[in-house]
Amino acid sequence: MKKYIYILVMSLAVGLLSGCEDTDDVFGKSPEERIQEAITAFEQVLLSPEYGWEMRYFSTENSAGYPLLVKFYKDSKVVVAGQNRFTNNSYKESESYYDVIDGNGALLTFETYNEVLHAFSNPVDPNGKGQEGDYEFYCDPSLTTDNQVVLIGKKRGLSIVMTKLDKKYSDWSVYFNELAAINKVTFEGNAGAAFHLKVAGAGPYLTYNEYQFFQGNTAMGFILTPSGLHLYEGYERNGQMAVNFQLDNAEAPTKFVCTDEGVTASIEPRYTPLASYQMDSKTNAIWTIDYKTMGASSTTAFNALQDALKATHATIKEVDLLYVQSVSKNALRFRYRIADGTELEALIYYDLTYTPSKNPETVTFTYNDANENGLGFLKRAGAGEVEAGKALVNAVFAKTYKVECASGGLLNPSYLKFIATDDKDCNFTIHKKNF
Amino acid sequence: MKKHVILMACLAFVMTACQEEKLAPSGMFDTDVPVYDETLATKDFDKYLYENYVETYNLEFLYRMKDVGSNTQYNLVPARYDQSIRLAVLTKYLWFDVYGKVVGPDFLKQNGPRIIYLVGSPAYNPDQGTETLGTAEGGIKVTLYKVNEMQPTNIAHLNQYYFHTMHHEFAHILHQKISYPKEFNTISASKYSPTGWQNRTDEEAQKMGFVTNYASSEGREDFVEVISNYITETQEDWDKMLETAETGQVSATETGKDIILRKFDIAKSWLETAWNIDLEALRQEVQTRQAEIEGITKYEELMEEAGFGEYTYDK
Repeated sequence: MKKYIYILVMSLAVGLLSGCEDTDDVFGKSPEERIQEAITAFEQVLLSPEYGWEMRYFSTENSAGYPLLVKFYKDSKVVVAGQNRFTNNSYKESESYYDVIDGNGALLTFETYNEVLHAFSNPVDPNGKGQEGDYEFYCDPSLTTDNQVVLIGKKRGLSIVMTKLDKKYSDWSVYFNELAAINKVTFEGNAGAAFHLKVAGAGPYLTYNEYQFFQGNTAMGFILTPSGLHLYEGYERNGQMAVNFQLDNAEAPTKFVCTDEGVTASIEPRYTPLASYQMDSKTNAIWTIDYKTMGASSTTAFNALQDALKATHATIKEVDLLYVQSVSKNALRFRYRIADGTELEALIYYDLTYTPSKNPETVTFTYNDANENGLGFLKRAGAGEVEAGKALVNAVFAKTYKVECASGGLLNPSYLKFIATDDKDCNFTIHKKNF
Repeated sequence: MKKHVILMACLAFVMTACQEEKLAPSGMFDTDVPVYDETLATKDFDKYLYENYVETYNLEFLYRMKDVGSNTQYNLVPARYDQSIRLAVLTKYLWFDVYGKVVGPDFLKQNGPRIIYLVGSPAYNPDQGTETLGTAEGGIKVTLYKVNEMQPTNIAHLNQYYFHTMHHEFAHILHQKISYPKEFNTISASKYSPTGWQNRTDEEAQKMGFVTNYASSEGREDFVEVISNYITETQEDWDKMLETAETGQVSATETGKDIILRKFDIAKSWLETAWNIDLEALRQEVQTRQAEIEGITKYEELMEEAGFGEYTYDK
């Protein structure tokens, strides 16, 4: 807000000085000369990077941030690239035209429509608001360095940081590939996940959704870039202001660690991997069992079922765990194809119990043998198949499992491994299929 | 908030109080020296606009949006470059050259708007549940919204969002220079509803003696709606509107149709006497050109002739 007032006051000053020709020349140069110098200097800064800029774009203080890559050309052309929900999560480049004008100070304006940038400003029916992002910017010279320029949105007064792109990003797709990679091990498919922001030893529990953390109903906008996570407004506790974070491990991260000087802070998963998978969240989530990499004991039971099905020309296509909302039950689902090519599915309901219930490391599956449910699909093939099915279900469900990350880090495990506490050869992995 | 208002008010006062503007004798823009920049990537379009609008009609066609030039109560975005080119080519053919041919080339140079300003997005009015299609400010500037959604060969769409708006706003400019007869405002005086017009359907308004529901907002809007609708609508659509109007009994002696035709006669006569404009000839020329554009080939020809064949369709 202070910056906004500053701009208004400066606007008034420039208006006073430039509007009247007989104003005393207290700066040694006329107002027109000084504003032209400011415009030229701003243009030179914008044109300076060989490979363009990384723009950390925020529409409002609390909204999600999205990295955009921007390249300005001398002939007024500007190219903006992004890969976010406004581009259907595909890489998109858009060409348009910009100018730096006298707008009560040197003002960068993206003055023809750019599909990537203006997606944040498009008004939406019926309230006419949309994301309400800026596309006209002043430059904050006090924060401009050789490598970085800070833009100030004209309407909202938000600070938009632009950093010169390194040579390794001369091909912009490299940047977005790196961004996709860091997104995959952190937030991809992770809506609703719980995190703990710790600054100087303690801090709030947060819930994640689309590059925003929520503390209750209060949103905290952040941006994810290949260099890490950046909170727009930062979080202060005990005199320590945490803004910038990096992963502790690029391949299998367990947390974000603050990189700001003199600040001890981190963003960590609140729960163990099993809880973070939200298997009891009663959502439409589906977890696929990778039945081709099961342990020896599990494989034996599974192969017996497959062999029995082959005799009837039926083949298993997929095995999932899911929550069936229509009956409020967890289920093991077999998707299989019968001889005429028709694909069918069978649901076998089960219960699970966490130990402890809030932040579990083990889970116990139970199955009521009297309730055959989906085993009925095997009956058409004969009693042998039913027995094989029961044997598999009992092998899988009459167990207590310890759960650990199979790949990816604790921040967003891509595979979880379930290992039976009484038989290490009875194990299987699952991954999120559909969230 | 009060401080902001005061600051901005002061700023506006300071900036206007110290200026002494004089228009060039020949018009608003200096046409002696080309004002487009040869170093810009948009130089071809800028040259086209200079030659076809600034030189010919003393008008600046602004497609590069400066938010400071917009109504800041709205959230708006700029027009797409390719859509701006298409609209510039179509506006010349369907509006400016029509007046050039029917009324004379100097007419718009002397009386037309000085600026056409393009905005890419709609301008929503959430409190009223409406959206502003265009505005004419002081007879100088016509602002057109929703340019990014323009369908270049769909005449109904073009009329609804752009050309009806242009004729509408231009009629405002004309009556701001020479008033129309006061008698017009008395015809439906008791039925105007400046804040509730949107609650009437077109059909309801027509039965009351208005060509559209917006015409029922106030007298001056009623006047320009008669002109702009007559020019842009086909005879078939105009007749259909009158048929609907005829089913409404406004008084013991007049139906909605009678009222509309009375208003039409006043508008037509005023254009003839005040401006020497033959409304029938103007309409005939517009209708001929609209029919050609709907044939698509003409649109493609116009884009090619203007040198923008590559922008004819989305890439």
